[in-house]
Amino acid sequence: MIDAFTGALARRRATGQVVDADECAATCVAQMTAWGARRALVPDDAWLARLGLPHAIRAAGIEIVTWPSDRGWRELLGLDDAPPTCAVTVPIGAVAERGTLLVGSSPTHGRSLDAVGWWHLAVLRADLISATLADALGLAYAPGMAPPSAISLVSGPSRTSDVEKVTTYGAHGALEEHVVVVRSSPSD
Amino acid sequence: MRTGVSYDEGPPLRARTAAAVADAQLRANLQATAASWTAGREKMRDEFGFDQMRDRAREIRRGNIRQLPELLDRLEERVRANGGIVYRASDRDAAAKYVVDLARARGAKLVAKSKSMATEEIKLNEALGDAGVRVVETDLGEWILQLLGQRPSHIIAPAVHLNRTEIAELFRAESGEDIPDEREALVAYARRRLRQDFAAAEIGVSGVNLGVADTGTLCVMENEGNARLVTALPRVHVAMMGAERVVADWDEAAHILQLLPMAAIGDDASTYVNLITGPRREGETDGPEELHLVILDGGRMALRGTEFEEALSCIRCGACLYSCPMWRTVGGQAYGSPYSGPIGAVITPLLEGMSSPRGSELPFLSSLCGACHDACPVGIPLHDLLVRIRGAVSTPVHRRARIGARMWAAAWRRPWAYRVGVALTRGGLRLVGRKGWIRRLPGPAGRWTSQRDLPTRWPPPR
Repeated sequence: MIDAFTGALARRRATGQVVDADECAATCVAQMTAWGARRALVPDDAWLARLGLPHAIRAAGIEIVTWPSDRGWRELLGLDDAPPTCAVTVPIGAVAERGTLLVGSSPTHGRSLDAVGWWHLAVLRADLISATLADALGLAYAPGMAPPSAISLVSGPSRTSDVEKVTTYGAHGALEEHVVVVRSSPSD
Repeated sequence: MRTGVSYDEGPPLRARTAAAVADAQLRANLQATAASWTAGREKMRDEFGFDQMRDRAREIRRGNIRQLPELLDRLEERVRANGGIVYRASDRDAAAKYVVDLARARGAKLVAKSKSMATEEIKLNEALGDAGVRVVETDLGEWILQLLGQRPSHIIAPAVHLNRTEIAELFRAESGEDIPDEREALVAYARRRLRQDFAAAEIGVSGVNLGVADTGTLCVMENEGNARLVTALPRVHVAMMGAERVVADWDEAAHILQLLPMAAIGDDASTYVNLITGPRREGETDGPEELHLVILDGGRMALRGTEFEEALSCIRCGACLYSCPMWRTVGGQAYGSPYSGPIGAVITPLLEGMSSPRGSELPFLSSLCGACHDACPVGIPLHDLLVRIRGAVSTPVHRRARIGARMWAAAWRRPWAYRVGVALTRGGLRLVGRKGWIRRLPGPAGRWTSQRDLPTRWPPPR
C-alpha cells in the first residue's frame, strides 16, 4: 500500500519518501533546506513535537510560525516581503490509488494551511493510507463521527493550464509537494 | 429579467458563427485544445476503466434526480445543522438579489470569486457591479478575461483563445511593471496580485460541484488553489449550487469526484477538492464565520418527470464541448450563452424557454452526430434530447416551416401531385438555368446557391 501510494505521487508531480519515526525530523529539514525555505508554518501538533520536528527546524535556522497564529493574512500569504515559506501538514488520510492526501481542518490545522505557503511538506502516518478514495472518504465521514469542518483532498502541487494550455505549477497554492511517509512504530 | 452587457446583446447567431469560422487563430486553438482532450480521454479509457465507471455514474445520477426533493431537503437540514445558512432561490434574479443584499448588509466592497457556472447563469458579477461592489475572478483564465472584458469560451478552460504574448501585454498594462512573456512569470504575477484580493475580500463566492446530502458537505473542485483561498479566508462564504448537483452519500460522491476530472481534463485527479462541512468552528483561525448555501432552481425542478429529465444528470465537466464538431469549429463564445456546446444547446432552451431567442436557436447548432453522448461521463443521450427539443421549439419561423413540410408531405403522398410537382420544378429550373446550371436563385432558395451550383438535368453537363 505504501509503495502504491509513493508510486502514485509521481503521477501527481509530487515527490515522497518513506522513513522510520526517528529519521523523520532530519528528512523534513533536509527537504526544507533543499527548497530554500526560510520560514515554516507548522501545526501545533503533539505527534510532530514527539517526532522532534519543531526542534530540528529551529536548529537549522529556519523561522517557525506555529498554527494557529496571530499573524495577519497578508503576512501568512507571503505578501509584504515575507520570507519564502514552507507549510507543514499532518494529513488525516491518504489514497494509494491516486496519490491523494486528505488534509483535515482543526484548530491546529487551518483550511488554507497547505495553500498559503510556497511549498507543501506533508508528514503522513503510513497506517492512514487507504486503497481507494471511496475507502478514505468512508473512514473520514464514518457515521456517528463528527467530520472536520473542512477536508482538502490534495493531489500534487497547484497548477493551471490557462496560459497556452501548458501546465504551469504554483498557481495559487503550493509550487511543490513532498510527502514524508512515517512507518508505524510500536512507540507511537 | 435583468439584461446585462453580455449575452443578450450583439449580432445574431448566424453572424457570430460565421465570424468564428473565419477566425483562423481561434480555430487552431480550439483544434489543439480538443486534440489534447482526446488524447487524455483515450488514456483514461485504456488505463483507468473510464467506460465501466460511466455506467455506474449514470445510475447514480439518475437515482439522484429521481429522489431530488428528498435529497435537497436532507442536504438543507444537514447544512443548517452544521451551522450554515441555506437559501432556496426560485429563479436567477432571486439568487442574484440574495447575494447583493448580503453584500450590502455586510458592507462588503470586494468579493473574491472562484469559477462557477451557476453565478454566470444568474449574472452575479453584473448585479454586484451595479450595486457598487467590486468583483474579482480569481481563476487565472477567468481573471484574464475579466481584465479584457470578455466572456468565457469553455466551462473548464475559459481563456483557450489567447496566447502568452497577449496575456503579458495585458498584465504589463494592468500593473505598469515589466513582466516577461514567460508562462512562469505570468502565473507568478497573477499569484502575487490576487493574493492582495484574497487578503482583502470580505466575501468569497464559489460554485459547488456536488452537495453530499448525508453529511451536508459541499465539494468544490479545482486545480489552482484559488477556490480554497476564496472559501477559507473571507469572513463570509457564499456557495452557489444548481439544484440538481446533489448526491446521497460518500460512496456516490467518491465515484463522481473521481470521474469528473477524468472526463474534464483527462487526468485521474484534480489537484484540490475542497470538502466543506460548515463554517469555522470554535478555536479555528480560518474558514468563514458565515457559510451561505444558495440552491438555484431556475427552471430545473420543473424538468423532473419530463422527457428532458436526464439533462439534470449533468456534472458540468465540459467533455461534450470538446467532443462536438460544432464547438470545435466555432468555440464557446459564438453560442452567446453561459452554457455552450451540446449541453448548452440542450439546457439553454430548457431553462430559458423554447421560444426565447437563444432557446430557439441553439438546439439547431448541432449535426446530431452523437459524439457528445459517447463523451458524456454520465451517459446523457444529448443527441436524442436535441431532437426532442427541436420538435418542441416553437417560434413563428419554426411553425411556418412545419406547416410547409406538412403540405409537402401531403402532396407527395398523391402520385399525380408528385408527378405534377416534379414536372413543374424541372421545367422551372430549365427556364431559369443557363447551359444546364443554375448559379443563383432568388428568395429562400438562394441559401442553396450561395454555397453551390444546381444542375438542371442529370447527369449535369461538364
